[in-house]
Order: sequence, then C-alpha cells, then structure tokens
Amino acid sequence: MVNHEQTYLPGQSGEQYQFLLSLLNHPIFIENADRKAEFVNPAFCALLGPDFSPDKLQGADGKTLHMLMGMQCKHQEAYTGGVENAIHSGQAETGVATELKNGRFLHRDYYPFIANAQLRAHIWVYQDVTPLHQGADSLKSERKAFMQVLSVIPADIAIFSPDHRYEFVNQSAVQDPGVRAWIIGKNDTEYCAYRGKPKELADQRAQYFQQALQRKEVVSWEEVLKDAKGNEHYYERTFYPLLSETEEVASVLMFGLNITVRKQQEQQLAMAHQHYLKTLDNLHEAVLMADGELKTYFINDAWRGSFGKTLEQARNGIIFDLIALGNYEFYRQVFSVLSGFTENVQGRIDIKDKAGRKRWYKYKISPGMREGEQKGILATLNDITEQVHMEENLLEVVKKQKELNDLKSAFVNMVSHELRTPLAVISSGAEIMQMMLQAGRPKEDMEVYTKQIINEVEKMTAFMNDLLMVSKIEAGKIDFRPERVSLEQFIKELAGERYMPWKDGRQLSIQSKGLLREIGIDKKMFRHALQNVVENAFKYSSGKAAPRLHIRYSNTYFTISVADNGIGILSTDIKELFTSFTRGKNTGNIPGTGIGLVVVKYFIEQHGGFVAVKRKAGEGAVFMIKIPYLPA
Amino acid sequence: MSQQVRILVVDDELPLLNNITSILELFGFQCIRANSGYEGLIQAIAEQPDLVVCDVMMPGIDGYGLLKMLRNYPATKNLPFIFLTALADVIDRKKGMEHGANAYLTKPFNTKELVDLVKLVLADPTQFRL
Repeated sequence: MVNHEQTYLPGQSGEQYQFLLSLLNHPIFIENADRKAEFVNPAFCALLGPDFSPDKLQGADGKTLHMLMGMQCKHQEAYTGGVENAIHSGQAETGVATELKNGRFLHRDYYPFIANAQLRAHIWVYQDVTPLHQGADSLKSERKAFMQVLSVIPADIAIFSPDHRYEFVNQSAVQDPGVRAWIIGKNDTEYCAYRGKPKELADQRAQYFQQALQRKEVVSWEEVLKDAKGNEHYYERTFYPLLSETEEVASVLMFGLNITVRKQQEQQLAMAHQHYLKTLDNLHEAVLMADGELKTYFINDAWRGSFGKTLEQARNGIIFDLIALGNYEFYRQVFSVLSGFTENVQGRIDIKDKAGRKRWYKYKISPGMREGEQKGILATLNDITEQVHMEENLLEVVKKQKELNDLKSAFVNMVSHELRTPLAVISSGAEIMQMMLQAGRPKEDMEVYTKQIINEVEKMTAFMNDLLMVSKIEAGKIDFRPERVSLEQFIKELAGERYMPWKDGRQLSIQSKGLLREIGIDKKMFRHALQNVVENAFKYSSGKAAPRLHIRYSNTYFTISVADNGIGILSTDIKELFTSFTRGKNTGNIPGTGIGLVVVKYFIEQHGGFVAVKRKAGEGAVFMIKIPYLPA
Repeated sequence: MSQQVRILVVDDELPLLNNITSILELFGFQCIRANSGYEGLIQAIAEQPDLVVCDVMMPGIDGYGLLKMLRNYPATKNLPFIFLTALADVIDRKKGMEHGANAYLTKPFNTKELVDLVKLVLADPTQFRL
C-alpha cells in the first residue's frame, strides 16, 4: 500500500511534484476535501475538450468537473453516480470501466488521500484502455461465432477443461438452455447424477477422458443409453485433446454422434447375414466362397458333409485339394469368372467324396461379393450322381434294347436263311423231278433229287432240334445222364461217320496222349458238343489244312482240343463267343446259327467241365474241352 | 434262239447250284457254274456270260461284293444280274437293288418264276424288277 501521506505534497510546497504530474500521459484530477479542483494535468483537460487548460480549471468546482467528464461518457449518469458513490464510500477503487462517446474506453481509479486521520483530497487517475477493449471485443465476437457454429452442428459437442469440467456444450448435446448454463464448470459425474444416468456411465467417460488426456490421443467409444421407454440408443463418442502451443492439453473436445440408426442397420445386416449363412447351410447344394486368390473363406454344411474337410483344415486351396489342377475345363471356367471375362458358368465334374467314392456334381461358378466388392468366386456343387447313374442305366437299357432288337433281327434272318436255303433245294429238286416225270425220264435219274430232298429235310430237322435244344436249355428242361464209355472208341466212331472224310474231302487227324481209360459222359450231350466244335473247325478253315483233334488224359481230368488254321476269332468277339445268336464279325456269309457254342458250353458245364478258346498268333483257333473224370 | 444264251450261276450251296443249273438247262439255257463268289468273278470275266444268277450270303466274296466288282469292270459293267437269295426282307431287296441288280428273287423259288424272270431281264436289261 502506497503511503500517500509521505508522497503527497499539496499546495504551494508541492510545485515540483505538480510539474512532474503534469508530464504524465495519464489524465489526473485532484480535488481537495472541499471538492475544489486542486490539480489537473493537460491529459485530463484534453479529455474534457480542446477549450480546457489546467490554468482555467484550477480551483474549479470538483462536481462540475466530474459533470463535464460525465458529459463525455456514453452513460453519463453511471459515471457521475459512480464518482459520488466512491467519494461517499471513502474506499479506493481501481479499473472502473467507462466508455466514452467517442468510442474510447477509460479505466478510472479513485484514491482518497487521508493524512492525520483526516480526509485531505480525492485523487482521480484515468487510463486509456481502448486497445485492450477492442481486442477483448473481437475475441468475444469470434467466440460467439464459434459457439454458434458448434451449436448448429447436428452432433453433441462439449468442451472440457483438462480437469474434465464442462466449458461448453452445444444445443444438440443439451437442449435446455437452463441446463446448458448450469452445466458449465460441472463434471460428468455431476451431470449424470443430475440426469439420473448410471454412475458407471460417468466412470466410463472419465476413464476415456483420462486416456485421451494422458496419451494426448483421440479416443473413441460406443455408449448405449436406454430411454424412458426402454429403447436403446447408440452413440459414438470421441475425445479430441486440444493442445496448446506448449503441447499441453488445453482443453478436450467431445464429439458425440447418434449412431442408433446405423447400429440398427448393422444389427439387421448382421441378422440378415446370419440368416443368409443359415440358409446356405440348409441348402442341398455344397457352397464355397473363395477370394481372388482362390483362398476359401466360406463353405456350407453340405460342403463339409460331402467332402469332410472344414474351412480351417483346408483354408488354403480347398478347391485345389478337391479338384485336381489337371481338370482343365473346370479351371479354365473358374479363371474366366475370376478375371471377369464371364459371369456365370456351369458344367459337370466328378469328385471323390470323403469316403473316396466317385460322385458326379453339377457345378455353377459365379462372381463372388466380398466387402461390397466384386471379388473371387461363389461356387455351388449339386450332387447329381443319382441322376447320372439313372442316365447311365437308361443308356444301358437303351443299348441292351437295341442289342436285343439287333439280336432278334439277326435271329430272324438266320432262321429265315437256314430254312429258306434247304426249302429252295427241296422245291427245286421236286420241280425238276416233276419235269423229268413229264419227259418220261428213268427213275434212276431222279434218285439224286430224292436224296437231296431227304438230306435237306435232315438239315432242317437238325436246325429245328438246335433251336429246340436252346429253348429247352433256357427252360432248364435237359437232364444230364452220364454213362461209362471208352472215349477213344466214341470219338473214332463219330469221326468215321462224319469226318473221314468231311464234305470237302479233308480228313480229321486224331491223336491221344496219356493213360487210356473209360470216362463218364452223357453221350448225347457230349456228341453234340464235340460235333459242333469239330464242324466249326472244318467250316471256318475251308481251303486250309484239316483240323486236328488231340485227346490228353491227365490224372484227374481229360482234355480234348480241336485246332484249325481257319479264319480265327477276333479279340473283340471273344467276349460274346458263348452268347446266343451272336457270330464273329469275320464269319461273313459262312452259314451258322450262333447257337452252337452256347449249347457246347452248357453241355460241357453239365459234365463239370469247361470250354476254353485260344486265338492263334497266325491264323485259326484252338477250342479246348476240359472235363474231370466222373467218380466211379 | 439262234445262239444259245449263257447264264453264270453262283451259289455256295452245292445241291442248290446243281438244281438251278439243271432247271435252266432244261429250259434251253447254257450254264456256267460257280461254287463261290470268287469263282463267280473269275468265270464272269473269262466266259463273258449273258446273265448272272447269284446268291448273296457266301463265304469270301459275297453276292454284293461280286456285283460291285462286276459293275466296276468295263466288260461286265452292264451285265444283267439277278439275285437269288434267302434274304427275303424288304430291306434286303432294297439293298440288293441299290447294288445295281436287275432283279431280285427269294428262296424258295419256283421254276416258272425263275425262268420268266431270266427271260424278262434278257429281253430288256434296262428294266429293274423287285
């Protein structure tokens, strides 16, 4: 506190000080206790107007001077009132603001001068603070504009001091202007308590606030608030620390967005996604989704069920695991979709299932969607194994049917030929005889025709018997009746009857090896079978060396083989050699019924034996009949 | 007939070959016999007959094969040709005619049929008879 008693030197003795005071830029006005102007400096005079000077004002009435001063102020009453109040209170005061009519700002100080417990003078000191005021004003308007901007932003905005107290909230954050005023200086705990929100919410906010404060980083989190109706509202809140020039946190901006709609959409989307995945899982088709590098990121239940592997087991290249790269057509289509060259492709492929069985699938490949982007592929595999099998079966049936039809027409042709040829011989022979009779030719001339007719009838009978035999065999109506015979004798008798010589003059050669013995055979069946094999050998080797018959007795069985140098058997015909009405493709027009070997096989099998055929390298064929000895 | 007509008969079934030639000879034709398709080809070229009566189903060269060869050989290109066969189906008749036969007769046949057909074909070889 300045000791005015020591420094104030009034009246005549204070001339030096008065001179000094007059040099100061601050306007100064001193009244004595009687309120007469004791001192004014030029600066004070300048405030009142150009017509005033210290000389003129010396000794003037103090109240009048204050009135003159008041006339310069914007609020005259306020100024003069303030002055009287100050004098009345007798208390020093500083910095009382006054705005002048000319737009300038003054601060007024008042000091009562007391000496020896007696009021001696009133000292008024003025200070021009216009520049200060102007700065504060522009700050104020900037702040106002800033706040207005923040207020109209459709988001919750608050500014906190570093000790987490509200410095500002906008209209969106707090709608009630009363609360908006109230909240300034409060913290979140107080605000939550005021709003009746759980304390945990305030704690959570405080925690994030500290995090933002300490790390000087932006922190975001989600808040769920329930309204009175129990509906959930989601907010995304963010603390932005605002740093001063010294890198200290000056304040913290909080930004809050209502993301309830977005959240609901996300939840709906998630539900839709779940539903979609569930639907995929319920599909009969196996579904796979892979990215642009064909890395799989989804397979459905059907896929797992069919191929065993889970996504984790085969995340890299589940397609490659399943479908060999050599499957050119499939991968060509996959890459064609991947490259965007084609939209959708489909085809058929066979894949081994988890049990290693080959199954057929119809595949479809479409462009995949990932994170809203067209990327990778979506592949579905539809198991069509049953369908393929049915198709195959159907084809097989159709093929069989066609074969059967072919067989039937071959049979009809064969029967027709086998009957028409002898009939032609018979009818022509008969007509010739008739003509001979009419011409009166001798009976002897006709003998050749009667023989012919008898022969042809025998042939036809034999053929009919063949047919009958087959039908009997097929109906299971032939009994096996074995008896003991000497094979040598049996064969020699048969050969003597028919093959010594054969029709074309060739002779069958017969050889035997091993210990001769009696064997048990059904003579009818055996004769039929042997005759058939030997006659085939002659028939198909016309013009070549005569067929050779070998008998070989082994310990437990005997073998008869008949070899010829004829046309042989095509490898493609071997399979159907013993099938009814089928004939080798190389038999041309050599007559035959396609029945013979069927009967041979059946009869030999009745003996417990079998017939084998061997193709010879050069030409011809060897038929072997192997029969075990019947127990005695 | 100032000059005797010569007919080549081809059939692998010997008794039938005999009977056909006998019948034709009884009706005044001269016959050349062939017991196979191959023999028939040799005889047709060597003997230059006026007409061929031929079976279809024979080992080696069959009736179709023989006809085809004859039609490709200039000297026998237009030689009148009759199929006499056990193949009685319409399809077989058609096939025979497509091979270029002048007439088609099925077994068993009667004498009159055969002789009439031979005469008809000889009279007008440009006519085709099924």
